[in-house]
Amino acid sequence: MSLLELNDVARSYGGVKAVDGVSLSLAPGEWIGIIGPNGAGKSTLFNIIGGQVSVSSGKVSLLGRDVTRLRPDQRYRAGISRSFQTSSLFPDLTVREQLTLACRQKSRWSVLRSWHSDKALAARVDHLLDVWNLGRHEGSSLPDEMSYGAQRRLELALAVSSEPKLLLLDEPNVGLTASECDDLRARIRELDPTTAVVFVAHDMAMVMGWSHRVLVMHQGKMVADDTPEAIAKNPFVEEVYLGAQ
Amino acid sequence: MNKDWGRVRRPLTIVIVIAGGFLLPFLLTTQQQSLATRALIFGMAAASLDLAYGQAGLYSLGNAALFGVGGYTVGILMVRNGIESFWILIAAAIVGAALASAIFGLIALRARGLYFILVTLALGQMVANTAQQWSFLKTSYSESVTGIYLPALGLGEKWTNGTFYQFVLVIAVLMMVVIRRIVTSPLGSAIRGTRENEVRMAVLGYNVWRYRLMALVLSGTLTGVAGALFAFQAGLIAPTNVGVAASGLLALMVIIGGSGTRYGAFIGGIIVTLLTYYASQWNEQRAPLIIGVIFVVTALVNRYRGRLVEVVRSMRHREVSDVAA
Repeated sequence: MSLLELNDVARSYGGVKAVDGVSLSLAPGEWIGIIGPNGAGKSTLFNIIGGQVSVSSGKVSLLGRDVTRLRPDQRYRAGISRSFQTSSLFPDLTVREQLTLACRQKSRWSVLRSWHSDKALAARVDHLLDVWNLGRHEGSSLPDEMSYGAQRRLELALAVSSEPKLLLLDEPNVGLTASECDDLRARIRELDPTTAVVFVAHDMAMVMGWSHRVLVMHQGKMVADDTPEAIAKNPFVEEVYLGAQ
Repeated sequence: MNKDWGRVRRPLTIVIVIAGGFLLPFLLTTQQQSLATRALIFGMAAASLDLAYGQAGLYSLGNAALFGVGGYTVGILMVRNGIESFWILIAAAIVGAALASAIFGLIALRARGLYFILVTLALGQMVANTAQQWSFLKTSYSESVTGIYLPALGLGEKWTNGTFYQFVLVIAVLMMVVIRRIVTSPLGSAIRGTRENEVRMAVLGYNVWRYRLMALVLSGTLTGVAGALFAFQAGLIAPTNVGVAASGLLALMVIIGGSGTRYGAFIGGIIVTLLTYYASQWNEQRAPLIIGVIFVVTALVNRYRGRLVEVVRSMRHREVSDVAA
């Protein structure tokens, strides 16, 4: 069974079709990069999968379950998590508090329990601090006291904290050096191998290196869906996107 | 030694303050005891409001209405139905205020930002108008519910101004413990998260709307408890205790005390109550002017607080560098 299915998904703003009849199937563990010129509909499609934008028509399914009408928090609980292009952190919460907030079970009554006594939760937070090399920021550090790279790592640590089935990464390499970018990829690869990743990026080398498949969007439509090698040789893609580089 | 002292300093200070507060009636006149009781009650109301302001970032201007729901509930039950038991009355006030704040929240949370403030303002004014117009909410040909007296605890208590003050102090301590517990719990953290980054909270699986509603209901319910105590203490509850001006005063208490701080709103409530009283004693007509000036000064200090914090931080860094050198 596919992990994610998009069936003829569309989103219009007035007369403008931001996403126009996109269909897509994603298998567990698959990595898909979405590329396209500015205004091609990449971000809208991304937000449709994450639930930040509702569809005008079409259907979104996760593991066979229709999630089209679910809110972002419900989609998160169904297994979809995401990161943002510019770090979307909590300015007045420390690194530990942010990760604790992210790792806590969101069951109805768990909010009434003290988390100081929750050893499993503390261990999970410690693990994330170690894995994402955030240990030295532990405790009282606030986001604005951290380097940009550390903020990006925290952003991604928040996104993977729930061990999602599907991880959406919006321009994950923005502001990172090439080695930090490689490091980031390695950390994500260490996640559950069945975790699928969909990412939007402008860095072609990164897209070609990271993806099993590359989707190319143009004027709201998906104009190509193929392996990175085939996409690199696709003349239409070269014309509408790669040629414009 | 220093480490041990650092650990016990805060709880010790709190115990001393509470013990001092408990012994305070022995130093005060009867009138001053009443004023101290009222200051505690408004401290509680301000601390409750700060759950919405300081934690959830929801600037409600309708909390005086919820204060009034608590006050009118106990007043009507006592005066019209003859119920004297504190436990029954306070339970009714809690249920009434919780229901009213849930209704407020369900309506007001449909709006955002400035519109949220306006909706809460309108809802508060509706409650005030209802209190003014509905004859059921008036007794003895007056505009208010009068004839409310101190309730029976069933513990053989003998009420005086001093003992009622001590009773209110116990409730104030309990309420601050409850508020502290909420603020430091995962629920409090989630509520703050919705204030700081709504979008991130949603993508972390939190139902932002539900947490905001919970913040409003908790805030309104505790405000209702303060309203009930006010009615007992004042002997009446009137539309003026419920209206927009009263809501504005509650907001002023929170802002002066420091929204989002540990005890700031509570202290703000005490300070503004004392200031209002002594300003009106000095010159009743100029009292609103004095309070207004204090409010403007506080708002300006808050406006430049970020800059002040930066100055303090840079001074601290300089000290650290000097020590390192």
